[in-house]
Amino acid sequence: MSAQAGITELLLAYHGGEQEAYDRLFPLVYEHLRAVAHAQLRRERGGHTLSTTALVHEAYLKLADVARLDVRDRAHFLGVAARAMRQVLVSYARRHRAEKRGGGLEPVDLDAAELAVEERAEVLIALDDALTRLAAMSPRLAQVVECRFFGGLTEEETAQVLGVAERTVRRDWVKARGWLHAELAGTVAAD
Amino acid sequence: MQSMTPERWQQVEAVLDAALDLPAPERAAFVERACGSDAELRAEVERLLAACAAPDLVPEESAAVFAAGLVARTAEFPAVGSGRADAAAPAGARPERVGPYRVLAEAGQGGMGTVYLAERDDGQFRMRVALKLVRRGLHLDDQFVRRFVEERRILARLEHPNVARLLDGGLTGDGMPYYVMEFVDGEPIDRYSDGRRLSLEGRLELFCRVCRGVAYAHQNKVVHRDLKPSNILVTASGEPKLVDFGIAKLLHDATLYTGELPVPTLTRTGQRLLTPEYASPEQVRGEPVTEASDIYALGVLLYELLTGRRPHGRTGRTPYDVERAILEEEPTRPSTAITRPSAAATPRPPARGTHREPTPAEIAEVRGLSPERLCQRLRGDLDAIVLTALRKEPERRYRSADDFAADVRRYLGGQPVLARGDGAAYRLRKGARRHRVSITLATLAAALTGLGVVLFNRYRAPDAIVPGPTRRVAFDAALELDPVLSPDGKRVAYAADVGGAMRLYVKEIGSERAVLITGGVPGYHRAPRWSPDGRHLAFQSGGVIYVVSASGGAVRQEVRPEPSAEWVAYPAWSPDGRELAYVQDRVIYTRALAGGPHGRWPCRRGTRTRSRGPRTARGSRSSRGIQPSPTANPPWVAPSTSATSRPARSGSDRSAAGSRFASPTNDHST
Repeated sequence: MSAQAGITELLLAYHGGEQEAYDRLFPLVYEHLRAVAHAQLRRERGGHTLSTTALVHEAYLKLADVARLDVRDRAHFLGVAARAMRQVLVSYARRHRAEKRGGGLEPVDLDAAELAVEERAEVLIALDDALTRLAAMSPRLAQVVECRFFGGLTEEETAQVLGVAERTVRRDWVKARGWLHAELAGTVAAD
Repeated sequence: MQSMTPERWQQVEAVLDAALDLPAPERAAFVERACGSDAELRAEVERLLAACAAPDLVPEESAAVFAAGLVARTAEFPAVGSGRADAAAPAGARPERVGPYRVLAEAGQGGMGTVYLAERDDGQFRMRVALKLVRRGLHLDDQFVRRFVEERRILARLEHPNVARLLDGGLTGDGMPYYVMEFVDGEPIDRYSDGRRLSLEGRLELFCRVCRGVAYAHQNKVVHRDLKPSNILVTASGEPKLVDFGIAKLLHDATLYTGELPVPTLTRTGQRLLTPEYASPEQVRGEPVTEASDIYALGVLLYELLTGRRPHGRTGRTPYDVERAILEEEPTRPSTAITRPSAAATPRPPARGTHREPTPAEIAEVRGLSPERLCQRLRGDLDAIVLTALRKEPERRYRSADDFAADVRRYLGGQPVLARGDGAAYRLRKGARRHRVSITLATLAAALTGLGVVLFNRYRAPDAIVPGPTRRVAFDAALELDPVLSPDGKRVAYAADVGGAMRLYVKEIGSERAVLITGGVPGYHRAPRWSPDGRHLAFQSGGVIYVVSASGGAVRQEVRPEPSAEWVAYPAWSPDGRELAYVQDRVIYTRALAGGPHGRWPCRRGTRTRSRGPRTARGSRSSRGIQPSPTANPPWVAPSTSATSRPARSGSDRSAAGSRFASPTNDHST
């Protein structure tokens, strides 16, 4: 079975709310995005870096048989992709940090670009940690951030994924970012 | 930073929402009024309100763009081992250079990566090599690199006409491992034999040379671990060469490591990393791999060379079935395998491109015989030789590949074959013989030392189980998944792949020793669930739910779902430990361990009840599963699709003492 057929079937099954379908869907999407991230995001200097939105939507077109799927299926896929994207990027960040700390190499004369990269890694990690704490309190707020920031989804798409109104998404985004600001301000500064 | 309970957050959010609905100037006053005397609440809301208005600390650009530089400078990390990477990977990924080698062409796709024809390009001399590049990145910590280098060093010492030489290896600039082998221009041994219509003698002769290579490796304490036709290439001059020694294991381990969150490594239909048909019973059990496992694989190979069939695999059978057969069924005698395909023996998977199974006539023909004559030739000595190698007990097989080949030569020379003796000649061990320690990663991994992974990663709610500081439990993170702490907090159950099969283990916290719990059960085991009294573990494999003692030993119970399915989700224990529940097709089934009819609880999307049972962090997948709910009605709560279960017909709650839900006699049918 091609990956495409598999994912399409799983999306259709997920339609009915099967947790199992999600569990089987996630690794497939994750794998795709991981590979794509590796290939596409490796060009540091390219002015044509793809946005997350493009990556996620492209993943949908590549992985799913869109003719058989409706708007809701697409929304499900995007939700999964957003989470997968988060995991992919945060994993890079953690790996980067682990390498820096555990590599046994003395960091000598890091150039500005290197420092900037390190900082980005830290931001992503802090963001991920904070999102996890947020999710424990309010799952939907965390999901909004996941969809909007990590998934690059629009408000409308996010609303579809979460099954709420667009204005709820807008309000959630405000609250979530506020909460994250309050959280991150302390964390990032402490480093 | 403060962590708020959801209830508290709801309060805060309510005020916050109302305030945000108001024009900015009116907010402060409103908040003051709304919070009244609750100073803490007010402080919270005011802080958040300010934050909502402040410039973003969440990056402006999309996450991928934000992370681009980071990704570029970090080595690729491992992928989900689904084997479908080729479908998802971006096109045109063929590298031009790998280390000092120049890639010329793609030679084939292996299980772990792509094999390229390459050329050494250092000006001095040109040599053609096979370069195998791991498609997926590996976790590159010090320990792994050291192991990789050590293993490679050992393998590089192997020098034998029947073993493809490992020449070189290393890590690319991107951090991807590669290794370089002597380029063997040859065909897999089964295709070679059939293509040239080798007689039985010819095949046996070939086989003996394969044994020579295996014996040599064993003498150097290297176990191949993955012997099968595609790993034995025969050159045009008729010399078989073994490839992929040990490497398969090395890469297999590494791809299981995923970093932070455990991700299932196989899809439901199970793309096995180890070909089950060639796996010995001890490999299927998850026990350490030894030379005897290679002998077993040689037996399967010989079986296939002689009969065109495999002793246990069957097209259409799931890997679970194959594993069960390996553990429990006796292989069909080779002499009857050809003409009785309905028996345990199976047709080989057909040659690529065709779907037909070879008929007995075809099988016999490529061996230069008629079907009847072939069966006749196989009967007796050859039957005995093959079956000796396929014995379930390792110590009853041929002791070495040399002994195996020697018996085959006896047959070829018309001499009596030892395999048909009374077995006294094969009293291979005086008493219990300890398996020699072989240098495979299985051994290294079995030591279970190494990377410390915090058992509870930050995705678990802190009130989950142990009071006090989080304990650090040392794991070899390359192998282990799904750690679950026992109810008393003293042991941990987890899934690990030591010998090529995913099995469950239990370990005392603080100890290095792990007990293999589910060796005798075939299939792919994940997600163990402790019984409330901590004495049993439940898990699912191949659509059957098993209950085993947490100290190892025979399976206590099997629960076969009705209707049966290939995969069943989430066995869960009732709080009194007397019932198991599982999900199938959006219905929760319950089964009392003491017997009796099962309960059915169709799920529907109901009100979002927040379970006050064990908490699961919403973002986490590791603690998914149905749980008994605190109330009797509904008795079970299904995971995060927010479906709750309701009985199809409400009945009186005849709960037994300690049981939290209606007894199974309240069965309902739709």
